[in-house]
Amino acid sequence: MLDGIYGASFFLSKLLDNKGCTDLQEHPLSAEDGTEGYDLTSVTRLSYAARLKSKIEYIKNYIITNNLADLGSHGASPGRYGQVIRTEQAALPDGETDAGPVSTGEEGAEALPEIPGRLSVSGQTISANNGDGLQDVIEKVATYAGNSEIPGFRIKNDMAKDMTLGLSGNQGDPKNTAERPSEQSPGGIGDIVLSFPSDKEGPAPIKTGSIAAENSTPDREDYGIIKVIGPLIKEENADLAGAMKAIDRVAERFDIGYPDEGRGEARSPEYGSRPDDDEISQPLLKINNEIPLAEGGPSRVLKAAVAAVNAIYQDGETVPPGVREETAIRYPDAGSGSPAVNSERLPAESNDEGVSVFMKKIAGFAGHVNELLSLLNESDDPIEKNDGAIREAIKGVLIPAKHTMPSRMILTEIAGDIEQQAVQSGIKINEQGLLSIDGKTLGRFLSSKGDEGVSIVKSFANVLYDRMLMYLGAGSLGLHVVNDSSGRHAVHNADGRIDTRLEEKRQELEKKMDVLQMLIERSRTLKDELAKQL
Amino acid sequence: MQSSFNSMKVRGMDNTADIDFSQWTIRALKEEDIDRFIRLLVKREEFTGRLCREGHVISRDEAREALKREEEVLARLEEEKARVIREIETLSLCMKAVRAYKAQFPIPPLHYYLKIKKNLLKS
Repeated sequence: MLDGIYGASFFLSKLLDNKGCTDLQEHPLSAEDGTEGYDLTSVTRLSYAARLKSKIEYIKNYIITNNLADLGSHGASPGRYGQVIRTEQAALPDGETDAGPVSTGEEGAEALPEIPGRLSVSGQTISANNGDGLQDVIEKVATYAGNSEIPGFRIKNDMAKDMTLGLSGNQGDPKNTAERPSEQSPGGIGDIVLSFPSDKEGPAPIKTGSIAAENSTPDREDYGIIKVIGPLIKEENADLAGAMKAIDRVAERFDIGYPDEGRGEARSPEYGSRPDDDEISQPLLKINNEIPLAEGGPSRVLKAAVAAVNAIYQDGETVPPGVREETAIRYPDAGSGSPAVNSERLPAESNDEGVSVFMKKIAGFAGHVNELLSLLNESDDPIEKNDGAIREAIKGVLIPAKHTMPSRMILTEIAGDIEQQAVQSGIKINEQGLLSIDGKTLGRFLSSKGDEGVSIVKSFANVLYDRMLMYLGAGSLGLHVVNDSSGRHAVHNADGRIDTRLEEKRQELEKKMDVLQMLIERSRTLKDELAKQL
Repeated sequence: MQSSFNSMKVRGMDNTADIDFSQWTIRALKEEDIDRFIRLLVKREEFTGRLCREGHVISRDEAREALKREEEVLARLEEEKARVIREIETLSLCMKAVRAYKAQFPIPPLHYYLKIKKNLLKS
């Protein structure tokens, strides 16, 4: 617990370091927060910081886990999970259409020139063959954002007039250029443009909101920008209440319920309930019917949300060496490579924050596995259609675990387990996380072995998935995975059968509940009657 | 003039016909298995209704004892109710997770696990 408090304290200090935090007196927490008029005590601040951090983590996880972010997709879009997608911003020259997301891998970066006024991620930032480009960018953003010398990375307090989030495109408002910004004013009202130079020499100016809209010039965007949700961050505000509201607003926009906060209850009385599948597929339709579902629109918006959340999250996570480990969940016997890890070994003393941190890491990891399985299952001919994508996805599973994800002590152990499973499947993994089977690359192996090769890799993928479920704590749900007759995996309950009787079981429990309620009422009556006689 | 719960003899209930209301209560309380405990209380209901309708009066000592037992019964029932509620919630989560399953995105969303973990931590 102390670890968590310490981490939250540091996070708080980072927030308070921002100039805008001195504005707490000018921007007191609202009545909605229940603290209006109060000077926040350190405890309250800690609480806010912890809650804020938790919320950010949750939203980030939600977006990633539910594949809302579209951080990469297969097929027409070659971008991979974990890569930054070069996305054309809404600042399109007249008559030009949005080309949609484009991979910023080496080829993508070279293929598309930098176009002033468009959202892009600098090729300088996204290095060639960079499967971890997103992380790279996030870290850079965090670095700059966390630099107190840089004005602009501030969290807005007053959100009231920015309900559109710069996304819905108030065409009637000439100042709102979010939907159709002009060349002269690439940033929309409420937008923030985080810029960093490609030469890496010193911090770049960060332009925010209407200031950016009014003062920015196209050449300022030449070196690559990330545009994030506008109202989330404003130059002049950085207090915790504003941050909290900002995050809440993001959650509302994405209709995300928190597991333990009331903000998301508009969706469902049960926080955290997953939106229906059709809602997931068209999230913005649910979020704001006014948002035109133009081609590329949703993914642009969602990517912006992820960038925003990532940037803030990373800011909060900018902790000195050692602190990160302290705030991370303690994991017994970590680093042993033992396959005996499972969710039950989460230490009992872990606080919610620790669990959340753990889940965040696992969720990112799981995203790769999800994608891998998706690739393997979506096509009857994965060799021809998805060879490269499958290879990339498998790398995506292993490389983050070994090299890039934080808190290696957890993921290294998981990677060790998966590696062991891979070996049992006849698959070897080198130091770079690349696979080789019978001395061949995965692609060549698949090509040479045909269906047998596919079967081996599928088996491996299913093992990965099984392991992921285990690490994610699916055991507590009584679920596990087996192959069904078609060779695809299916969720089974603990006794190994596809659980079609869950509803019956619940009805049975509800009947029992009725009986219990009747007995309780009768017992209370008796108790009252007896008490009267005494 | 006074009658008591103890004087309520029950007939026509298989081989337990001679067990009176209090005995049903005591027997239920001795039962460790919660389902049997509930079944015994359900059987006791036949006599509870009659007792209430007929308005029997019992002595102070008997009432005190009966009250003590009833409080114990109530506590166990409440505890079981809370447990069933938790079980239903978990089952609902499980059902949602199963429904959420897709070959394309096979890992259930994160919040199922977060909620489970939080419950575990609280307990």
